[in-house]
Order: sequence, then structure tokens, then C-alpha cells
Amino acid sequence: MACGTKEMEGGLKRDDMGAEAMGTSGGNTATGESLGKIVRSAMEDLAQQNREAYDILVSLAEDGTLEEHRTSGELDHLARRLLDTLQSEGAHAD
Amino acid sequence: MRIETISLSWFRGAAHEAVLPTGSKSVVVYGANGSGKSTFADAIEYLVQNGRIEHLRHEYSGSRQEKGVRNTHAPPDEPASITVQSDQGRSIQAEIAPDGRLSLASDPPELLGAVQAWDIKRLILRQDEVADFVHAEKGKKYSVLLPLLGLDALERAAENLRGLAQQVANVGKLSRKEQELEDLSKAAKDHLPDLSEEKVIESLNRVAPTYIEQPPKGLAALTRSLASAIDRSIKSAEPESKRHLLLTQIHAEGPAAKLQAVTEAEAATKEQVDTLLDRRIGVLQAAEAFVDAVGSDGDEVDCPACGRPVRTAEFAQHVHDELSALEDARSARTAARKARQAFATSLGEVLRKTKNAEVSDWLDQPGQRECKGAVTGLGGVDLDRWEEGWSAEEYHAFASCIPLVACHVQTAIKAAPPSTQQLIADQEIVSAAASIPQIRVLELETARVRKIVEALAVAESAVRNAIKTRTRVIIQRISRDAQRLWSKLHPDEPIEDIRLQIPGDADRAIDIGLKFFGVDQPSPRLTLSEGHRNSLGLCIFLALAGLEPEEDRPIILDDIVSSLDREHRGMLIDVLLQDLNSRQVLLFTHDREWFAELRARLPSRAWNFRTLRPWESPDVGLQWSDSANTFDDARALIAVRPEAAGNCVRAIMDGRLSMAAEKLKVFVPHLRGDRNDQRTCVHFLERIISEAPRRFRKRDGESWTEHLEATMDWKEAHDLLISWGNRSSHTGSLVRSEVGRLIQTCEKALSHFRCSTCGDPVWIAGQPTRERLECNCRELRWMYD
Repeated sequence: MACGTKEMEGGLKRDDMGAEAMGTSGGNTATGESLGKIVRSAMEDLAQQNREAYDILVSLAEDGTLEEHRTSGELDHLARRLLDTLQSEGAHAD
Repeated sequence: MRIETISLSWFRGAAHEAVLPTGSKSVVVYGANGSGKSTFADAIEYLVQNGRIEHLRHEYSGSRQEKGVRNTHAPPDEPASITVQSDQGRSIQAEIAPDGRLSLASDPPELLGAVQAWDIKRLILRQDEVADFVHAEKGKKYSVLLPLLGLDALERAAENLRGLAQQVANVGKLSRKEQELEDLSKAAKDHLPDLSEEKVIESLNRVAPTYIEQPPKGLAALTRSLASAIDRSIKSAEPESKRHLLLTQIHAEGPAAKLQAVTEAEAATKEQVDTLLDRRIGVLQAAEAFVDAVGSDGDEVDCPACGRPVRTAEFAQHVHDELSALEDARSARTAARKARQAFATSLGEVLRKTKNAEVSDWLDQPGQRECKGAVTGLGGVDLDRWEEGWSAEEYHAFASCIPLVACHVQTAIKAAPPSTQQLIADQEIVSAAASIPQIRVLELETARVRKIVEALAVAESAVRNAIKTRTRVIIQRISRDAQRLWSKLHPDEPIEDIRLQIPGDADRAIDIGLKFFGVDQPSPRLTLSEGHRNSLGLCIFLALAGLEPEEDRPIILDDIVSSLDREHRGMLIDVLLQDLNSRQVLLFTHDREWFAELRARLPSRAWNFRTLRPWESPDVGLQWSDSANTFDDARALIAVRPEAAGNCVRAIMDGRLSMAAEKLKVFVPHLRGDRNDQRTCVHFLERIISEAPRRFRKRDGESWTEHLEATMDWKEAHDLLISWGNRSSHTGSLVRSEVGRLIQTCEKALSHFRCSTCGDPVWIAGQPTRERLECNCRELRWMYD
């Protein structure tokens, strides 16, 4: 029983919104690959106009980030990431 | 995985050590009320739920339920522990330190995660939860069912998408920018009917010939050129024209409208703040107490409001939400401040322009005395105090003076000569054209943010549609299985077509429908008795459990048949035999008769049977009986109430022999009809003893001979039950030694119905219609003529 110990105090919570921190196997166990598929399909229009935002959202859907409860603070962080893409979109447009 | 053993130490009802060995089989555990059966279900829930047991989430259980899960008499320095050993030598362990600190471990490490991914609602069904699903409201049913359907992750995804869309709109200041865009566009449209670049250039070109000879191409250059030319015309205009221009600008400042905006914004602020203040102060005071209680350790504390343990993360979210609500009030306050600032700037500009020589001369005219007085009155107010606001008297001055000035200015503008009016109109067109680039920027910015928001909304809608579609598919399957199980438990009953359904009139809701005497019923609560509702809840649980992709995980049924009658309990055994034969079932019951029937019908190759002794004290803890019968209930009474122990023996023998006679097809006539059965163990024994010489056989080499030992022991039990059993109930004069012997004799008598080699009862195999019943190894036989 020496291995696999995890203390309640820490380390159990996914504390970063990034795909790296979530791990490549994260989420989707309950829904298979379908959330990623759903989001890809629903955001086809966005893909044409803001590829970077589209890629972020698809990756959030595929790495399990969206399938876990997110606090307002975490959503705020994500929203800023998405809005940051408008800068580069603006730059491309200019 | 299959559970091999559950070992407990100082956990709940367990003292130093309590082990439930299953041998990887299913197991039935009998124990009288309070004997500690549920401790094992609690232990499994504690592991799966990462240190939580739902029914212990009350105010006394401590931040990690340490007051609820540790045996109250555990030595202060010893931890409580749970160890579950699975087949294939894998194990999971939880240790709860005396201070409540929990550590969980598994070997291999990934086992813990795999077990904690189990859905507790599909794993354990407890007595008080059996009908929960049936009783729940439609929305609650949906919430309860969603995780069971494995769709809660999608529901969270939908919620996250919704929240993210809202947050993108907030952070991107979408509504503010849209408002700004609307205001600018509206102001521009007052002078330019069409804001397309082509039409604006057309409008400017109509103005241009008056001021410039060769208008440049392009909107920006044309606007700049015209603005400069008009500026020059104004500078060179006659004083009267200049005065009209200044008065027009004063009019355009619109201080009256801005004052109205201040009044409205301040009223909105007051309303927001008044509503929120009391409630939010209460909430944040509770939050403060909570934060104090959290201290620096622990991820869970008792909620200061309701006493239930809550995770700090959840509470942090709660506080965050409350603060978000306060943000609304703050926004209203900010809006009011901005309105005051805009008003102060506007009025300041008006007053500055009134000091201009042309306007000052106009104010000195006799007809403008009243207006001049109003301007002087307004000049006495300190406009720099917009941050904190003005006094009531000052607001009164604004309200009385500003409309007066506006009225005089408007009258004067109307009297301006046509050339001046044209100049003013042309200047307004050019100013409107100058705002077009800003309008274009805002259009682009809002469109980009809105695009993300709309994409998120479309994704949310798609996820919700997926949830609906999958819910329909899954509930159809559950409905089929629940109906099949119901038909087994309630054959030939007028309740049929049990189904889960999504009501047409509600979103995110699920209900149960059925047919009662052939008529559709929208809700089972309308027609089902408590027993039927419990039975239906059980069918739905078992149907849900059947959804598990892997059958290789246990199902725990904790005292679930309390409201079922004997007949339906018997039907449930059919379900265990036929529908759950590939699952490991841990079944706990306090029902002695049902336990006896389970022992009689479930094969020992797949099932183990254990009985708990009645509870003594916390330091003794859970105790297993040495035998799998229930006579320890009687033994526990010998010391203090021997006559009650005797009655208990009689009750056990009544039930066991009634069942044995039924299984053996030994006919014992009812004394007062089926519904008032007065037959006792003595009557059953008499019949069994009289038929045994002809029917009961024990293997002896290649032949089967009369089971003389059984007949002898049954006779002895019969005699003792008549003499001592009757004394215990009629005169209460039974003594301890007599009860001890009565128990011993009855235990021995009952043991003859069960094969000592294979462990199964004599009626487990064979059919009475096919000449005989026999045990699985054919050592014992009950022969028919």
C-alpha cells in the first residue's frame, strides 16, 4: 500500500485551465469524444472568423476542462484568453 | 472488481477489527437493528466518495466527518481505517487520523481513481432512499438521473459554455459598447439619414460647394477639409451669427437631458443598494465567520448558516457569486457617478460659453434678465463636486434654472438668420460625419465579441440538444429494464407499462408514467402505495445499475425490503438469481425471515451468508456470529430476559419451519384461514416428522437411507418447543440453562435441512414434480411417491 497515496490537503484539484495541466487523457470519460465533436460542429462559423478562439474552445472541450465545474474566476480567465485572440484577429484584419 | 474482504478498524460501528470476507461471492449479511450492517455500506461509500458519506453530512460530523465516521470509543491515538481487498490481490485503504485527517491509498495506484469514478447512486441503495427517485419532483428527478445517465459532464459543459458566454460579454464590455454604438449612431442619424460611407460622402458633397472649391475624395479627407472650412467661416462670421452658433452649441450640450440622466441613475443606485445591503451584509458576515473557521487547514468546514460540511472551494464560489451580485450595485453606482460627471462637464461648458462676449451681450439684453439670473444661479454651484454629488438645494437650483436657460436659448436659435441656420446645419452634418470612424470601430469590436458569444451560445444549445437526445435513448433502455423487473416482482398486477419520460411541458425534467388498470397515469404518486413506490424505486435502481458498462463492480443493497411483503420479497430473490447473477451483490437485511429464505434459495456456490450478533457496546463493536443462522439474536437475550430469548427461538423456528414445509411441499392445513395463519413451528415439525421416514434420505455409498439422526433431533426440538417454548410465552418461567439447551437443539434440528457437504438446503435442486428434491451434491434427498 505504499504507492498511489493522495492526501486530501492538496494536489487533487485541477488548478490550471491549460490543457497541459489537465493532461491529455482528461475528461470525456463520461461522454466519449462527443463533447469535442459537438463543439467542433457547433463552432464551424467561428472557425472561419477567429481560428485561434475556435482552437482554444475545441481544446477546452476535448481536454475535459469544460466537463468539470468551473468557478466564475476560472471562466473570467478563460474569457480573457478568448478576447485576447481578438487582438491578433484585429492585427490580421488590419 | 469483486470485493474479497472489507476490513474495518474503529470505523463507525467497528471496534479494533471487523472483517467481512466474501470470497469474491455475493454475500447476504443479517443483523438485528443496530447491529452495524450499514457500517460496511458506509465504508464503501466513504472510499468511493473520497471521504464523504451523504447521510452523515450533518452538523455534528466535523470538517471531514471525523465525528461521524470514527467509533465514539476509539482510542484517542488510534486511526480509524477501511481496507478493501479485491480479487487479484488489489486493495484500497483509507485511514482517518484522530484529528480527522484523511489519507487514501491504493495498490495499484490507479485503482483508487477507478473506484472513485464509480457512481455512488448506482452502487449503493439504502432503505431510506429506495423511493427517493419516485417521490422527487420532475426537475429533481432530472438532476438525480443526469449523473446516473453519465450525462452530468455534458450538463456541466453546457453550464460552463453559458457562463463563459456571459463572461466574454462582461469582460469584452459588450453591452456598454453596444450602448455607445447605439447612442453615436442615433446622434449621427439625426443629421445623416444613411450611415453607409457612400451616402455620407454624398451628403458631404452636397454641403461642400458652399465652403470649398475642389472637395477631396474619400470620407476622412472630405470630412477634415469641410470641418476646417466651416471653422474658418464661423471665425469670420458676424457677431450675431457667432452668438447664434454659440447658443446652438449651448443647446446641443443638452444639460437638461443630462440632469434627467443623473436623476434616473441615482434612483437606480438607491434601489439596487437598498435591496442588496441588508442581504449581502448578512451573507458576508457569515462568510467572515466561515473563513475564520476554515483557518489554514482543511478543504471542508461546517457551513455557518446550515451546519452542513461544505467544501471551501464551493464556499469560495458562493462568496464569489455574492460578490458578483454586489458588482451590479457597484455598476449602478458607477453609472450614476458617470452621469454626474457628464452633466457637470456639460453644464461647465454651457457656463463657459455664456462668458463669451457675444453671449454675454445677449444675456445683458432686457428680455434675457430672467435667463441671466438663472445662469448666475448655476454659476454659484461647485461643479467639481460631481464625484460625491450635490446638496438637495443645488439639485433644486439645477432643476429650476436649467430648463429656463434652455427655453431662452431655444427661442433665440429659432430667430437666427437663414444663413446662420444653414451654417449650423452644415456644421452638424460634418460633425456627424466625423463620428463615422468611431462608429465603424465600435461596430467591428462589438461584432467580434458578439461572434464569440454567439458561437458559445450555439455550442451550449448543441450540447443541451445532445443531452436531450441521449437522455431519451437511455431512459428508453432504463424504462424497458425497469418494466421487465417490475413484471417479475409484480406479475399479473394491474400496474403496467412503467416508463420514464420527458414531459412535453417542461425542460430539464423527467417523470415516471405507468398504466393503472389500463389507464395512463402521469405520475406514480397518484396511484401507487408506499410498498409499490419502493418496489418501483428498486426496479429503477437495478435498471440503472444495469447500465454500467462493466458488470464487474458490486451493488450494495442496504435494508431495502422493509415495505415489501413476503411474496414480493420472494420475487426479489428471483431477480437476484436471474438478473444479477453476474454481479457481486452485498445485501444487508434485518429481516430474519427473508434472510432465512435467501439462505434457502440462493446457491452457496455464488452466495455467502453471514450474521451479525446483536450490538453490545462501542468498544466491542461489530461481532460476527459463528453460525449463519439467526439464533444469536436469542442468545443475546439469555442473560437478562430468558423468557424473551425463548420467545425469540419460537419466532425463529416458526419462520424457518414454515418455509421448510413450503419448500418440501409438506402440507400443514391452516387453522383459521390463509389470512390469519396460526400455525406454529410445532405444527410444522409434527408434519415433517411424520413424513420424514418415507421421504428424507441421506446418501450412504451408492444408496440413500432414512435420515434417522434428523428425525431424532426434530423430535427432541418438537418436545422442547412444546414444553419450554410454551412456558416462555405463557408463564415466563424459563431459566437460562433451559433457553441455552432450547437454542442448541433447535439449531441442530434446522441444520439437518442443509447438506453438510455442499452447504445447500435439500430443496435447492430438483423438482417436486420430478419425484424428488435434493441438494446440489445430491447427498440429501426429499423423495416423493
